Amino acid sequence: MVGNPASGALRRGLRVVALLGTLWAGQALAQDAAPATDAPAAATSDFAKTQRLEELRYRHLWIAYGAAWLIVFGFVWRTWKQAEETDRSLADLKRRVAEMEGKSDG
Amino acid sequence: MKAFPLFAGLAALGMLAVHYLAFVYVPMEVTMGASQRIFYIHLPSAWLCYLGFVISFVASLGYLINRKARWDAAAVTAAEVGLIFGVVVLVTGPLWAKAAWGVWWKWEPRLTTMAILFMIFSGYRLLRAFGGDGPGVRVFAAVLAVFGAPQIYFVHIAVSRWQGDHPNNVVMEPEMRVALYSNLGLMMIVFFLLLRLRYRVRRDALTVSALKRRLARMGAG
Amino acid sequence: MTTGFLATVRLVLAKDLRTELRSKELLATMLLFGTVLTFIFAFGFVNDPATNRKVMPGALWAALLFTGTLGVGRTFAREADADAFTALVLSPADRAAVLLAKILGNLVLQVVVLAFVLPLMAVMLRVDLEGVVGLVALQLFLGAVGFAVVGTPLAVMAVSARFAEVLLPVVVFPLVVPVLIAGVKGTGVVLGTVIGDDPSPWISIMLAFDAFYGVAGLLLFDRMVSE
Repeated sequence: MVGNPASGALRRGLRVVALLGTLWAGQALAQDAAPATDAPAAATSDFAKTQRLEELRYRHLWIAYGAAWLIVFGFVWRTWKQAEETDRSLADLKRRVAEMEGKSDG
Repeated sequence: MKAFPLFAGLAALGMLAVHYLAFVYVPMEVTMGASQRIFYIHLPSAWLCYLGFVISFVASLGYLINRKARWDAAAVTAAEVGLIFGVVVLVTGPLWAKAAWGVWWKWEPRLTTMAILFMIFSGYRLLRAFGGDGPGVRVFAAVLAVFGAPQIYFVHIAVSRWQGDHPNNVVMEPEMRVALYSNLGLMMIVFFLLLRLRYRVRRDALTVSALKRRLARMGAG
Repeated sequence: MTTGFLATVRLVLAKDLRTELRSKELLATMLLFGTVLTFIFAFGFVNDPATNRKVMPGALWAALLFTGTLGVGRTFAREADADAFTALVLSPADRAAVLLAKILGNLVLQVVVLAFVLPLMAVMLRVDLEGVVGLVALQLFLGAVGFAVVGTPLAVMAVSARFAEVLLPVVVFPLVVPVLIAGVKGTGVVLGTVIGDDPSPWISIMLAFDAFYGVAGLLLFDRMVSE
């Protein structure tokens, strides 16, 4: 893969964002499992339970939309890079074919 | 095609706008709370996943009849884009389920049939990636898509036929309807943008390999 | 003049069965594989009788799927080895008739293997099939039909793919999972391990599946092999 430095930096940046997002989601999801191992005292009040469920709902909502964005626009981004790549090789090949034809004619 | 980033940027802005509807405009649902809002991205993704597979089905059938490379390229592209939205469905679904049912996954008819459908087209994608690119493989893949897509029917009838737990035919408030269909509309635009771009990439890649062959012949001759 | 549809089916089927009976390579391999699978399931899952009864449907249908893959994968292997595949599809014979003959050939092999595996598994897992063996056999038969009508046409096309022997099960298994689920559920109902007392809804799913894919395959086959 060749590309200008700016797009390389952008790509690296996006990768970092994707990595951080995944790490955050993983850490946030790990909290879901935590209440099960909590001391029973913490789970006694209904209020605490409701609050935890409420937090989980919001957390999952954010992760769901974040993941959807990463998946869809990550794919858009990759396809766009591929399009540029094929464009370049297509132009290059066309030029070479034209050169060869020019040579064989002349 | 130079304008593509512009389109993509506009689509992303539009998505943000309709997500605002899903996050803020729709009043809080009573029983499921915030997690119910996952619905506005989950259901449109599922529909677009089906749409991709249906387009793949039609294009494959067309390829079997007329053997034009264009139809084959359309079939692969639609299956790929359908799969991407299928991934969104299978990621957002469990996130909702954990909040609503308390478990990530249930062997419930809708979930099971959707997982099967996804596996069928994953197999299709695998075949296209590793099976080579001869005409025989294209026909093989076309048959696979033609055999696979009708199983959307099983996904569709799963809940009513086998008494599933998955929400089905949800009764919607007007605000919910607005949020759902605006999200669907915007995602559909992204869907067709992607379809268009990937189709072109595939066609260009075919031209590239044809030109390479031609160059090799010229070099030899 | 070309021969009639049924005559072609009979000719190709008879030729295949005759060759197979002479060499017995495929049948012997499938039977041994079925036995090995039964042993693996028996070692893996044998427990108290109630558990065995619950395990039986899944083990049985997994065995159908795995032995069936062996058979279907070799459908056109003989023709491909002898370079006779092109001759067969280019012959004036009705191509759908050739496919139907191949489907029936696979089905015959599969039925023989299952007729061996079913009692073997019942003995190994110590499951009493008295009174239900007919219904279990009927469902296995419908499952074998479903597997053959989906697997055979795809196996024909797989001949031309790279990596085919690996890819074929990967693409065929998900397609036949509906039959597998219906079969496991239906067999479970018959054995009394799944809630319900009537396996007919599951049987009708299998019938619909067999009919749909059988007809679709026969209709499309002409388009698949023509250039």
